[in-house]
Amino acid sequence: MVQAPAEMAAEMDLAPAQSGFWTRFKRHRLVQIGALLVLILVFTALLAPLLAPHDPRQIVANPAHPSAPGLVLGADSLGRDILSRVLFGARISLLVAMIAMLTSVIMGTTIGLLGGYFEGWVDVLLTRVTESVMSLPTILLAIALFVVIPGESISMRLLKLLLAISLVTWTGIARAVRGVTLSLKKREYVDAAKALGCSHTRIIFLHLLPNVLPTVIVMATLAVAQNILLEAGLSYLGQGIDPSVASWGSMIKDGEPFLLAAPWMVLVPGIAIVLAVTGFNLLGRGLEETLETRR
Amino acid sequence: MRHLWSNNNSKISPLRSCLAPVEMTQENSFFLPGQITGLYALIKVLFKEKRRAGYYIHLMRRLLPLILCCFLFAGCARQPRPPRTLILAADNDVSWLDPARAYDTSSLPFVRILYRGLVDYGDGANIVPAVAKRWSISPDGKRYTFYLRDDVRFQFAQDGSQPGRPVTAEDFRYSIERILDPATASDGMTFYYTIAGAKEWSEARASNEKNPPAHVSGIEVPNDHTIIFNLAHPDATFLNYLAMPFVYAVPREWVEKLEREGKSLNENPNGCGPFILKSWVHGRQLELRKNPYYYDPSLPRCDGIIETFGGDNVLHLMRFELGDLDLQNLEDAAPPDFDRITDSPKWQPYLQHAPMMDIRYVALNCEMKPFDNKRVRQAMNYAFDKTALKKIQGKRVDVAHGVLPPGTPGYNPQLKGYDYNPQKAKVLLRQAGYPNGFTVTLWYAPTAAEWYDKAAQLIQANLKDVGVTVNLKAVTYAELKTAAGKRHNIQMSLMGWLQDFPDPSNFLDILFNGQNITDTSSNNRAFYNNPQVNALLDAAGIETDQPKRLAMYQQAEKIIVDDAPWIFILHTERYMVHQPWIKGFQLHPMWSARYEYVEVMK
Repeated sequence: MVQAPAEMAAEMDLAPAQSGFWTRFKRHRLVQIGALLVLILVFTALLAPLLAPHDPRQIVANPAHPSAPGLVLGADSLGRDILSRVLFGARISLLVAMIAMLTSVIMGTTIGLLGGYFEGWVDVLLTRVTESVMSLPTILLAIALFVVIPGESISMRLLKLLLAISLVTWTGIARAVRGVTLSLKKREYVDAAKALGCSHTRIIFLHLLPNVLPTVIVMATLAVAQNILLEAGLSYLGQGIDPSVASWGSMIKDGEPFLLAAPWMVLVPGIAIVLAVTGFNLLGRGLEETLETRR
Repeated sequence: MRHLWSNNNSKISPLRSCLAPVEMTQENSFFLPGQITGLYALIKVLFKEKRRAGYYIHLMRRLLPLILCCFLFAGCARQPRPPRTLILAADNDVSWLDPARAYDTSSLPFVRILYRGLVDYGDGANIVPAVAKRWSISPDGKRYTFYLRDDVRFQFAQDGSQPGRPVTAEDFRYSIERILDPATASDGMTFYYTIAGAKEWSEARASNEKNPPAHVSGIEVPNDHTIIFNLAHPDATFLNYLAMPFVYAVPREWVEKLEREGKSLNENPNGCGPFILKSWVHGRQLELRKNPYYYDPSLPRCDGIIETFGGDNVLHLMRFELGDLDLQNLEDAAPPDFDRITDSPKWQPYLQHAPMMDIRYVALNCEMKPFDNKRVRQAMNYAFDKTALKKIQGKRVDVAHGVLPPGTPGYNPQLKGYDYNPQKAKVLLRQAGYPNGFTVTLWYAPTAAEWYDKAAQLIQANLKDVGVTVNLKAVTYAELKTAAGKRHNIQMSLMGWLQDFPDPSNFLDILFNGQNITDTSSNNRAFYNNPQVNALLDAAGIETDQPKRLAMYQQAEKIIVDDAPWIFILHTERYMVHQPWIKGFQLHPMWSARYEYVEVMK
């Protein structure tokens, strides 16, 4: 679950307000580790075809013999190369997490800005909608959406997955943005803009949006981590893209029966998930400090 | 450890008493006094040493995982074993304990020991007497007369006392008429249409006629110990149908009383079988106990059966190896676990295997494009490499060359079937007018068998090689059954068929006869309709000369394999392993288990 920004990074030291972004960035060891992990992940995803020794969908070894000779991390239950599948799995994880994040950021920011800026019945309506979506268990809602939306081809399933994830993860962003907007709109520059006769659109997009961006960036980074977990969870439950497409969640599911005989089948994708989620979480929490969203 | 409670003797390590329940196998409780005492003492000792609140909070945070672990281990403290009781586990609950409704592998082993029928199977697929002590068949094969034992009693009398009244011929007539009544919604209804007048009686019931006939015209009950069946046409498999639990005896007044009280036979079974239902907590546990009034005093050989539901195969295997479970099915064990058990000298003496008598297949809907083309269907068979599945499942499967599993009467060892030949598949697809392949959706139920998921992925990968894109649609087994039974609905479905009894008719007639195609719940899932095959199957159905009959079935199977309405995949070999203290367990060709013969020496 995405936390409200005020609750985040409570244990971190506050950086002196006057120093610049890079100074603060350099001071935070954790945000550097996070950025490094994210960079590695992005490069793995981009360069997967170059790095992977085999086609992740090709059966290259004797099935059901996890410690296949010639393969670094062995073969999965069908005889596909685990290393290649983990590398290609980064693509799916990142792709799904990023696009779903963008969608949910757009939805969340729009709803949060509108609610916070106009208040009154608009705010009441949008807040109620947000809260009702929030009250439903995320993974159950995502599964329900995934099952209800028709379409069975791989591209359709990818689209469904994106839709299912983004439709359940925008609520945290909307709430955070609404909170920030409520405090920002009482600032003098907003009053000044109103006095000068600026339209609502202009105030929202030119004056409020740039100022809620730091919050949005932090929330978005954290949302990526959450989306990676959600995608893995859905794939593990068999509601992912397709069992032939390498995804960390479905790899864990595949390796589960081999837990005692070949624990790496579960551990390798598991560690990949942990590293990716840790990376985005550290980056997000570090950014929260360096971007000074806590005020 | 109980003394800690009385005198607060903190000299005994609190930590040890915390962990002690792990060794206490006799305690039958989740919250063990010893454990609570241990925790209490631990907290007390800690609080005596230092007084700073922050320190305790810090300490408790550190200790929390340890404490949780203690509770976890306490949960594993084994329950004491009731003597001479068979302990089993299954993933899912038993579906039905009403013999009219039970028609799946979870229910049948229990239904057949709660109730009893006229006839049963012996140690093989041979029919032996049960409640009927003997029977005679008229020379024309149309009149079956059964003479009943007079010492068989129902388990409960009307007021719930034991034993109940003697079982009579009238009870068997009632049981069959109950199946034939559409209101019962039994899967076995059409099986008994061979009895003269049965179909008409059933239809009269369905149409709510003013005065439906009281009884099926083909069933005669001259006295309490004789029942006669007149068949519409000779049927070599009629005795097999009578051995199915559908028509096991149920007492009419009991069922009617339950109906009046708004209860069901499903929850309150009352048969004449060797076991009595003790308790059934849905989704949790089923418990049976011995029926002391069973007519054969040598049965059952154990005092009771407890089956717990939940968990999965990995967990059950683990419990079996710890000695908590008595029997373990290796059907769905992961390949490394399967190899470990079957290769281990410890388990080898207790390992049994026998053919499952089944066929696993992909039904290709012959009424829908592109599978309306025979060449396309054949290409699918050539494109799929079944041996890869054999590599995954090992000894547990045999590649199928046709429909009938080895061991069925009429099995044709000469049938070659289809070998893996992607080149030939491509040629056939080109000839059929699909040089660039096509896209189809394969429906499958990953839950039906552990390896179905792998099979679906292998089919997808193999067909990709010949240019066919397969989308996978994973659904529950119930959904798959409904979807695959509907006409013009899905193109491809990964299915399995388990025999009811070893006869080619039970495979070929049910699964391929065009006359068995229905719009909503067709067992002919390929919607295959070849007049030549239909004629052969119909003729074989009423033929009484066995070699002649089998020859007709073989001929039909040959045409079916050539027409390829399925991708013929595998036959399964069942593997079971039991504990050393289990005696008399024997895999049976008909029943997945015969618990009444199992002895528990513990």
